[in-house]
Amino acid sequence: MINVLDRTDRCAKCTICVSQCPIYRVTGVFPGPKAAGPEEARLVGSLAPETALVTPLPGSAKDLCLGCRTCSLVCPHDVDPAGLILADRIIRTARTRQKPREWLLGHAALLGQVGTRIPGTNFILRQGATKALLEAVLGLSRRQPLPTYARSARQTFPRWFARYQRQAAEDTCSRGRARTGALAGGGIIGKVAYFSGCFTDYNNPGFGQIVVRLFEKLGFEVVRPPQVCCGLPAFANGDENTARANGNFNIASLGRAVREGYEVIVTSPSCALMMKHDYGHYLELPGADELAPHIFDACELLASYLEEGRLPEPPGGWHSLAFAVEDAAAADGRAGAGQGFEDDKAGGDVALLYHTPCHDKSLNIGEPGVALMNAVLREPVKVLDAGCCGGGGTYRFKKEKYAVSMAAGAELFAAIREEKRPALVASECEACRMQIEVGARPLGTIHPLEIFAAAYLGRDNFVTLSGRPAGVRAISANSNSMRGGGKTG
Amino acid sequence: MLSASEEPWVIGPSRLRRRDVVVVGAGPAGLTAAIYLGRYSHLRVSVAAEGLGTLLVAPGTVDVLGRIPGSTRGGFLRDPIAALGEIAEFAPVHPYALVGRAVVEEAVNFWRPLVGGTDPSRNHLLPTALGGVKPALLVPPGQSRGDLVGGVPFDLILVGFKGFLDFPAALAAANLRTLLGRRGSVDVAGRDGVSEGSRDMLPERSAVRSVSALETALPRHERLAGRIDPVGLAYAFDTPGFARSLAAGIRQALSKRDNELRDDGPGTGSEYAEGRLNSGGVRFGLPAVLGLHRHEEVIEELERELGAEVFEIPLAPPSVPGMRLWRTIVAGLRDAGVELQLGVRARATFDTTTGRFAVTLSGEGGERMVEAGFLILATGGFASGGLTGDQKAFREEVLGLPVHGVSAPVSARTAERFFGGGVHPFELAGIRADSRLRPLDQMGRPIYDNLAVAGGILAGAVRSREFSGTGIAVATGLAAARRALDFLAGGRERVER
Repeated sequence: MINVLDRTDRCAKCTICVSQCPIYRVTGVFPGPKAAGPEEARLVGSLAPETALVTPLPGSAKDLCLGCRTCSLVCPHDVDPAGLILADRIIRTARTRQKPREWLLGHAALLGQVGTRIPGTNFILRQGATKALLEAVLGLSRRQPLPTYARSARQTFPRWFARYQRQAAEDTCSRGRARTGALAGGGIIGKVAYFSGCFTDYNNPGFGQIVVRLFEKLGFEVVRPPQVCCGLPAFANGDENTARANGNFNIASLGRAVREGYEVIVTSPSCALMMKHDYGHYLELPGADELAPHIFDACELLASYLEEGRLPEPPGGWHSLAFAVEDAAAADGRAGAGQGFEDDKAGGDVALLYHTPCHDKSLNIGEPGVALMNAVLREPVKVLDAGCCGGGGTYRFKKEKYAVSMAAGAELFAAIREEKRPALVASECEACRMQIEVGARPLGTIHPLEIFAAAYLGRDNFVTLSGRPAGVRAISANSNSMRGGGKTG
Repeated sequence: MLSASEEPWVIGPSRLRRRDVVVVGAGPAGLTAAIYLGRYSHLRVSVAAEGLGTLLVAPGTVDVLGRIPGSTRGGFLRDPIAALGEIAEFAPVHPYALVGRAVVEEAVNFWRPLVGGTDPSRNHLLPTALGGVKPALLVPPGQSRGDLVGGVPFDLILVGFKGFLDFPAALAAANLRTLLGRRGSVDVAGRDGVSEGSRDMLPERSAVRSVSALETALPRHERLAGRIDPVGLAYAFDTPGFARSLAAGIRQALSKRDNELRDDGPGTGSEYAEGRLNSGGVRFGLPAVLGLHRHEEVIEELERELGAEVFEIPLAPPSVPGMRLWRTIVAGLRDAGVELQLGVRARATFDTTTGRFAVTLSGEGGERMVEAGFLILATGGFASGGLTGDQKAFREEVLGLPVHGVSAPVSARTAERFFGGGVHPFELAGIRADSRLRPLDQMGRPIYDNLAVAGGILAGAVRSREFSGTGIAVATGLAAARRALDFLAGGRERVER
């Protein structure tokens, strides 16, 4: 049982949650946050069955909630419909048994470990036959591409980081040269412990490498304490026990790092929300409340340094970065590779759009990713403000949710497609980015930190480390090599 | 900007943010203040609110003043701006008296493009979903043709949808007929289904020739298979072709009704509505669910297909016009460069050493501190949670400001009958402020210089009977923004000297 009932009776039935729910809008089957949340809890007593007054709503209808938590965010009376719906799901799951699909989707790290060990995983997962089989046996939608995995266990982020740290230790011993603070003249401006998350670990290790190199270059010491999945995928799929076990492990491990003076940085908003809010509030895990203030969204932490003027200026200067499609630029004979883009007043020919993940809003940190990007970009990023992507983490992979999930994101997809230029969509959340790639087919999607990093690590790092989006290159206004004396653009 | 090497020994992230102005509350008052400051200054402005405000449950209109309760003149005010002087005489602590007529007019003009731009010089009298009437000054274009006063005479046909209970067209038509037919002679509140609120609002001369109701089946739409609700209907209307099919259904229902009337024998002729389409003089009132993204196109399409004017009648929440307005506001905040943080509870203390407010914002992501050079308190009244009360006293939630008005004993807070028509003393309670909107203590002295109080939390108005809630909110919101500009400019001058 999780802690959710404290604010239920404040519901005034104003329906503001209903007006903002991305799922209620597109399907008449989902009863909506008001009915499935506080009303179900009060009338049906699904959370306390002895008080039941009427028959509960069908579980399949309530499970249409994708867990974006918009309802709890917009409620003017501090009711938590999202938490109540989640609690109901957890009780139902405990009463019956978790389905194999829900169990599997809840164990992203396990999937990552297996997926990166079997050669040819990505090839197998792309095959029509595999997808048909997964849909028939497990109920995973064949229309949603599954995430791609790092090609071998060696290439996962945790293994890379271990090698990288050994190398760093050797460098320091043999040549007396530390990586941290390369730009800041060797000064350390902070110590961070990176909670990288399953997606970075197994699906997008190149991004993790960018994060580490960026923080080091800015003057941070970076460690990666032992960690397991935050537990949100399991929790959202009704598995409270896994969430508790993972939470306890992470609290102990990250807690040690915090006591040694590190602040925890997280690059995935949903992991951050789970650790900052759910560990303490829903699961009431010991030590969670002490740890929570030391967990930062990585962008939030950098933005606070930026706001205080404590970050070094990028080599190419502030407000100097733009993006261009490499091949198209060369083919058009316009300002292509080698010529720089000084005379291109449009600021490169790739539009940079930003989608705010719902869980980023729940973190109440403002929009630090936007602040960071705008500090280095020549042309400010365009914030979409077009609502939820409909992805809901693991929700989007479920066969029966496919149509609803895509319909919920339709407004966002349309806003992206409206952009005339080829568009890069920045967003912190991996699930949002996957959903956007399927729904809107932009040039590519990217984490705001990758944009920020492009100004510091240069074009080569940006393209080769991330590997995505292919064919897009970063351009600095001031130099071809991005190493010239910077001045603010 | 300092480079890190110049300041290498400051370790750890800053947990404090600094803003020139923090606005607490995301209702019409706070939003007016924030957008105004964002547009007309270079100040860093942040809005923090526990959730979305009243806009999402209100019908998307700005109601400045519908009547002056207790005034000998009584009744519906056609020109609310002209009556503002009377309010000041009648109730000197009224928020309108504090800010003055010019600010109210400016706030109305400020909101005109947000609402959609109708004639802001006179009140509309609009039908409600139950067939009452309600005055409003700024009205979205989709609702403005519902005005029952003045203009060209018309026959009003209210259209309900089968299976959609939020708009009972037949009941609304019956109530409206009673109301308009017995102008001035409806004596018992509620007996005719006409609320006491509507009774003294009856116009001298209505433009409505006749009121009738029509029920039509909704075209098939996947979203409406399980449940017919305002949000789903708006979604369905956004689907191309839906409005067109509905219009066909309305014409069919109309012709069926005309035939039935003919079968019943010779009528007066005016009932045969279908024949008079395309010739003007017929208006259709539909529930306010006519699309979210494609709203204007939907209305145009319906009017073209029906050959008559179409307007929306607001419903009980969720309010689709409110959802539309909120989208305009979000874009407005973005354009003005204003930060918006929802889902946070604000608590503030005044730091006597810095002269600034330390605002603690707590939400799911934990607690964060914002230091504010100027604070605008726009958290609303009792219904919005800006004011609370227990058995002993009323409280203001953010700063613990003194609340003026009768709070004890509990029985003294309300009039004898809740819907009896008298003023409830608790409605007059709230924060008292001076003309700079600085909060006053029990002795009438201003408490803080860099704080302005705006909107529903202000004492001295009976909003439900004056129909003045949004008007007070936008006017005091604008005045609060002005005060912030004055204060911060003054502050800078002092520093420079």
